[in-house]
Amino acid sequence: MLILLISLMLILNLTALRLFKKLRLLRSISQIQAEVELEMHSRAHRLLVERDKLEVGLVKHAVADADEKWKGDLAEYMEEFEQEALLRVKQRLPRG
Amino acid sequence: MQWDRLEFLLFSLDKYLFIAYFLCLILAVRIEKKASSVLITLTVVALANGVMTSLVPLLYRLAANDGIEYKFIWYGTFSLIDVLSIYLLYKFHKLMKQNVSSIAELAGAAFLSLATLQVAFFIEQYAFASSYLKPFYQYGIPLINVLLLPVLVFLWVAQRYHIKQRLQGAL
Repeated sequence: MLILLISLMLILNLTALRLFKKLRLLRSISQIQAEVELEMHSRAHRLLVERDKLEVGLVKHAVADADEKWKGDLAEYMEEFEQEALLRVKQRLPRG
Repeated sequence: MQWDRLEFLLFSLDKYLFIAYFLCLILAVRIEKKASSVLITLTVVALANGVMTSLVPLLYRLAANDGIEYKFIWYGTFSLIDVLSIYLLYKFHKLMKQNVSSIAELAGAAFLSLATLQVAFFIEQYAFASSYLKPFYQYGIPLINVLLLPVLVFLWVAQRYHIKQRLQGAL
């Protein structure tokens, strides 16, 4: 009986430890995402400034081209952001 | 302040913790306004505290009986609530796609410490028939419970201040 109860208590404690490790892993992923977010924020700002410059300096017929270029840049930026976050998670965090 | 008075304060504060957590949760809902790691953490901590507070009289009656199985009900139930609290912290963050803050990590560490104290003291008492861990158990649990709230609030304020500064820096 004693062995059974002690085993149950140990299982509870090990479960607590395993769940806490999972929580910490989730925190590490969150931190990496926040870090990438901060880096990409300055790039997004640069993109916006470039778009403004394009719009200001263009004649009417070229606005559509500039808009198309902006959409392309934005899509590339979003994809890069996701890829970068995933890559860093894979590089820095243990598997499993 | 004398030790007796500190001891009295520690054990009497422990009883009012649920009310303090509940008030803190309402304040956090008013301030945060949307789902966040702070809200998840405070909800889980308040819930766990409420469940423990409401179960204490029943568990106390059961644990007063002779027999190791009755003692196990006392220690095992508290450990189980701690385990479920960490599980809820993890699951809520994952389901609501929220970043895990230092506040959530600290609450998780506190629940893990509480569970470990329950398990270690039970094993020491009934497997080794000694009580070296008694002071850690007796004072450690109320101390963690009482200190967790002000530390969580401090981290929350620090985090809000940090975010505000970052936003100001970005503008």
